Amino acid sequence: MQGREAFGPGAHDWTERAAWLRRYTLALTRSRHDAEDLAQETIARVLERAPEKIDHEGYLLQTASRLWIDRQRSHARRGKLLRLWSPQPNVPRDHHDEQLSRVESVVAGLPPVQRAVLVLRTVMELDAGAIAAALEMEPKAVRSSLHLARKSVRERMGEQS
Amino acid sequence: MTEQPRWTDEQLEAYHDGELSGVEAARLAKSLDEDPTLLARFEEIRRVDALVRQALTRPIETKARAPIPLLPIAIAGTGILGAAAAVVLLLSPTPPQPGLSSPEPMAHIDPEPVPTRSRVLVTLTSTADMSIFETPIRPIVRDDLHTVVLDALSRGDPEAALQVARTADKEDRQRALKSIGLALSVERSAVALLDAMTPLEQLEACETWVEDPRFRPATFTRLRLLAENPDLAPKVQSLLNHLELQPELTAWVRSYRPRT
Repeated sequence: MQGREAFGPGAHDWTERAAWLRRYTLALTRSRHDAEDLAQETIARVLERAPEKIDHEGYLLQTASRLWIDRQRSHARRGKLLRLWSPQPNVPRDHHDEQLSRVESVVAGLPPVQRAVLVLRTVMELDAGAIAAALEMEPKAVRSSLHLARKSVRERMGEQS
Repeated sequence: MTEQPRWTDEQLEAYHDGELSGVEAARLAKSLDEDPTLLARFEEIRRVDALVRQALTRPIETKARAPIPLLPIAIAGTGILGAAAAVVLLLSPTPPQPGLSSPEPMAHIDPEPVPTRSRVLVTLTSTADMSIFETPIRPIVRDDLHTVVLDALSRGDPEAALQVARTADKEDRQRALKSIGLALSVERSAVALLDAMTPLEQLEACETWVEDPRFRPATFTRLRLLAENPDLAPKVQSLLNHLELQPELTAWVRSYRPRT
């Protein structure tokens, strides 16, 4: 396939790598469209600026995180306009589903960096060092952000239950 | 009685993450065995983490995007570029649709089914005609013949759509002709809008419009033209490389890729 050959060595697992990246972007954005958009933008950015790093998971995560955080900040500036385009909350089906919807909503309200740290830890199962590399932070700052994110979720879930 | 060390939530979380040192982890494990309150705090951390993981990895339901009737009307009044922006704003992403134009299945993010039996049609014939924004977008119900017509149009082949229309009875033929007219109108509008933009704006518009099958003929034709601009050629190539990764667009990119 022409598209795969373009990536050179290591291209054999490209589909798997793209799926892996989408797992992260989907957990981060919780929107099918935004996740696909972010994953593709990440790939395009890496191919454009550092094609030799296309197989480097950390670099892909770093690029995706940076793009998403920048986008979130830009969205915050646009405020009300963007809220019109935000995903609608899932319709709860049962208690557990309702609880998951609440968690999703609480996580969506976290500051971008805390949200990215939480996703990288809980979904991608990276340790503090790897998260620090992906987000260009100190490991100590990662632990602090992770703690604040978890604390917020616990507190908000406690308030709502 | 020995004094229990006071463990913070941060330490409990670090233990949960496997990031405490061996000695500290052993001390905390011992405390957890001895202190039910501490154990309850630790279990709560684990429980919430598991909930977060489940919440963020569960399949996403297909949701309708919130309508924004006033925004396009407001910005469309600002002239031709405003109208272009209105088109972009109104184009909600079309879910992957199986058909003649996409021989390979789209790579889905999750196995959730997506609707394949409806598509919204938005047309913009002139900046003066804004009535479309004030009325609900009308879904088109597709039967077999009409599906073939729409597939031909989505491939940018109105002649093939016309051939199919000719074989239909009067009612279906009129319906097909209406769709062909709408598609041509959309394409003409797209070309007119592109002509009014700077090359850089055209590239940005193409990047957005390529998501919608109705704009692909105009978009890829324009990308081929833009690739002849030395300043834009690298960006166009980069965009085409990126688009080629999408199975639905691979054939389009290969057909329209500029010869080097």
